[in-house]
Amino acid sequence: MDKDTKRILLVAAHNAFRESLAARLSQEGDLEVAWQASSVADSRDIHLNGIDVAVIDPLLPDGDGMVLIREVSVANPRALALVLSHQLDPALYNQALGAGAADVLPTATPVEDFITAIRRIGSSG
Amino acid sequence: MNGILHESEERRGTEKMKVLVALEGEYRTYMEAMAAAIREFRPNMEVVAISGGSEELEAQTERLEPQLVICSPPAPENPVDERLALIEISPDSSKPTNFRVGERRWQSANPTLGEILSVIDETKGLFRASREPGG
Repeated sequence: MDKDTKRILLVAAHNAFRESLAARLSQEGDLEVAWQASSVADSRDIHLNGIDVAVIDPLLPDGDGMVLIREVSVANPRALALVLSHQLDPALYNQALGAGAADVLPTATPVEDFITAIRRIGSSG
Repeated sequence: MNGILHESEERRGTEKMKVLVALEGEYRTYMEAMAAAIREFRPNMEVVAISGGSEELEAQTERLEPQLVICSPPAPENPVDERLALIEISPDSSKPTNFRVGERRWQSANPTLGEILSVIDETKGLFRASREPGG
């Protein structure tokens, strides 16, 4: 693996959406979806040390994915979280940034802009 | 005779199946990713992604005449439900997704991308069969 490759943890409840996003990200030579999880519990089974960027869609079946933002940064201070959500009210935005998220994007974002955001965040960690 | 058959098969082979992926604009990231994933895993298809409401979906369905439509529920009956196959994919993973291929209908809770690709393959089979002489 190239040292510039960003390793991504992708957390989203929707299987088809998450797997599609993983497939799209994997088309980029400098991005690798190293882990996927569909719940808070699944995410806790993942060894977080090797992650550069955690993409978290916070609406998970067993809890609020916001808790994962803190857990990712505690386990790996180098890693940064990007929240991707279709519920983008100011309270959620503030909650995510308060928990330590590097950025919050709506799921209305064009996928190319989403990929650009991952690169930007991955380079700043 | 053989030459005619060969030419006919070649013509059928070049006619690509069309897939229309249409979700509301608020799910654009996922919609574009799904279209890209289908293009990657099933490269011999024409895949079009549009975001918008039911009017846009109806207009694009009439224009493109896709064999498979993947859209948010509920799909408009006409012309969308007249297509060979339909996936009404719920953006809410806790709600079931409705599948129809030909006359066969079923539901799946939180389907995987693999299930969607499987439906694409089944639809392609029907599409090919419909192009056969007498099909």
